[in-house]
Amino acid sequence: MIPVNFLSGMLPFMLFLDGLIGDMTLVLKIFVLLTIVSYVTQHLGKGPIAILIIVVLSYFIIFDYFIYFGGIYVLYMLVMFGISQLLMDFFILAPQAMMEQNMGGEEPPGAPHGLDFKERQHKMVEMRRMRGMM
Amino acid sequence: MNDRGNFIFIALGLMVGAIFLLPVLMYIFPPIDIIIKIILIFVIYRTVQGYLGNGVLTLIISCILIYFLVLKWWWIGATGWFAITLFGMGIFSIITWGSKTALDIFKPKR
Repeated sequence: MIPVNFLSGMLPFMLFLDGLIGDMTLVLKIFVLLTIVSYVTQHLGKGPIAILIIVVLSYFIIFDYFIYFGGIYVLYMLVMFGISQLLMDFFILAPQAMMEQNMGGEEPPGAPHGLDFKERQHKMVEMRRMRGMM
Repeated sequence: MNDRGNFIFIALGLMVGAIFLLPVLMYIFPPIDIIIKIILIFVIYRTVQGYLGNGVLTLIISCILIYFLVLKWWWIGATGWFAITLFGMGIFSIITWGSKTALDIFKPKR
């Protein structure tokens, strides 16, 4: 059984979350509406057909099926802002790290790694010192 | 996940830390708070203007968004804007590759 003190302590946090989620849903709906308006007016101009299509699309996307389209819009915006680039970085580096682990800590042949970089930097510093640059 | 693959968690932690740095700074230093809020107002207005053009509707929607994202939930607005800016600059790729390189440098080879 959940103690009453815990529930009363959680109440402000739950109210805070409730307000936050409601407000952010409204903000998301406004952004979805802006996207719909922009998309339709780019293709059809600002005539009566465009307004009709905006109304129909807004009804379905914002009011009727927002539970699906809200998530799709968030994913779309994340992809637009470059989250796929980040995933690609992970997909490139994670197998390399696992390969290194399987090889008993040795780097796979030809793969660039931090120690190479450190040694190269050290050699460059030595070369500069020899030439009297430092 | 093995010990060498931990760089993903380190990178994710660094990214979250970098994103939440701005709201913390805004909370600590009031001048930064004012400057970032002014920048956010401009960004929101320009975004809505890009979608709808000039007009009364642009002003109304901008005001609604400014109320929610700059005045009421300022830390979410600032965090979101800062995350988008860092994504745009490719800072997160630098953090990902940098954390892997740093782990390679500082971990002793077996």
